[in-house]
Amino acid sequence: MPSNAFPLRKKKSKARIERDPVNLFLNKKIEDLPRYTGRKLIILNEKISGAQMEKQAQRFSLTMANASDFKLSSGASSALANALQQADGVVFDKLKVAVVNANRDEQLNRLITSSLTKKSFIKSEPERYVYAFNGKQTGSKKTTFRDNKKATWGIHATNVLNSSRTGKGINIAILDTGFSLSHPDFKNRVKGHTSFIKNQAPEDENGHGSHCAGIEWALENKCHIVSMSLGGKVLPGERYSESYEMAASQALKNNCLIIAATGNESDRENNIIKPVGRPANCPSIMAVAALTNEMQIASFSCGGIFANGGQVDIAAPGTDIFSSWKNKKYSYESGTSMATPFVAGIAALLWEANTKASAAEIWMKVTQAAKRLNLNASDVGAGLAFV
Amino acid sequence: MKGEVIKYIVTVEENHKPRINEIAQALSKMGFNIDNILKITGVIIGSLNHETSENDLKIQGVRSVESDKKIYPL
Repeated sequence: MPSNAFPLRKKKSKARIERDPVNLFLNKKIEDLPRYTGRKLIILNEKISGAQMEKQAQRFSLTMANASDFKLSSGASSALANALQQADGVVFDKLKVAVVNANRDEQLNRLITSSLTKKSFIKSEPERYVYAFNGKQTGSKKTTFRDNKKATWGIHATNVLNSSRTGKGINIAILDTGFSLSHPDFKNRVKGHTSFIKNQAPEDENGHGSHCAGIEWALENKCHIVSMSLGGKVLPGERYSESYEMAASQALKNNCLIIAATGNESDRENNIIKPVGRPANCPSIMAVAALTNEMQIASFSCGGIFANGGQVDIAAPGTDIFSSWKNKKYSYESGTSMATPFVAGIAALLWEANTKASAAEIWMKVTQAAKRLNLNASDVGAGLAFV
Repeated sequence: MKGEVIKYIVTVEENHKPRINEIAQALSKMGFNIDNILKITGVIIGSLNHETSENDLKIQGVRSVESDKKIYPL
């Protein structure tokens, strides 16, 4: 017997595997192609071994082969096809998934519902065809968001008004060069504040050492999120700061998610794209790019242009954003600085809804919830921050 | 320039974080003027005069020494 064949077993079912004729697929649009193969996929219990699965399946007259019985080689696809011809299905032990031939529904239903076997065979679903995508996508419908009396365009675009959450109980540390404590928008909302700059006016530049101190303060005060609308440009090929990455990775371990602006040095209207700046270029910091109200990348927004440089993780509204300003006023401003707080806010909403989640899990939820855009991931990461 | 004070950020190795105070003390004896010891993040912030080299700060337990770079609002 060839080494890549599986042992021959007696087939108990009389059902034939129907093969789809080749001309079912030719010259068809993807939406007209068949969706289902007729086979079923079964999700298996992680704790049960393949051998135990096979034994249990035998109770309901299903003969299952094991994927470990054939090796992945040039003949693997034919070995798998042979397995499915000679047995009722194949168990992929490492994936904890099984595939079962068509016309075994009665046996499958018994496997999934019987008290003897339902803990091992958890759920089944139809196996779907997958097709290679050919050709370019046609242009998508243009989307434009606008400010109105209800909310600013950025709030509309991110769907925040439709969230039942407010971010209650989630502490956000805003690390910046200054903060207008007396602004009416922040009344009764500031739990604590401090400065790490000695004898300097808030508008001055400062060093990233003081920001490390800010991150430490946020961790000491049990902040869930640090929002940093700050940064510095990097030179081509310049690596991220070790100290910032250490601080950020420690923050993640301490269940604190740091979100930072990618930078505004680009001039895309003149074909100039600059790299993601620091500290957003750190792997452990969620880097935010800026979008226009037409869901295009903002001209100034930095991008992940170097393979070994910082990458954009997500994007948010960042042009003509109406918000609080100095001296208790309001202003329209543009920048990745404006985009970053949108992501911080959305992270807070998601964290309120998932109080036991870790910072890493919230990072995943923010990117999973993002609305995918027809733009380069190197410019917008997972897409528009959305809730 | 002689006498110029330069700010540095010293990052401590993860497994040496429990000894961060000890490391800070050792750096201080070498002429590193400490501004802040950040125990959770594992970072020591301070300054050197131009006569002491930053390479001298790379003692056991130190992962990296970086000069303090400017950061601006975006």
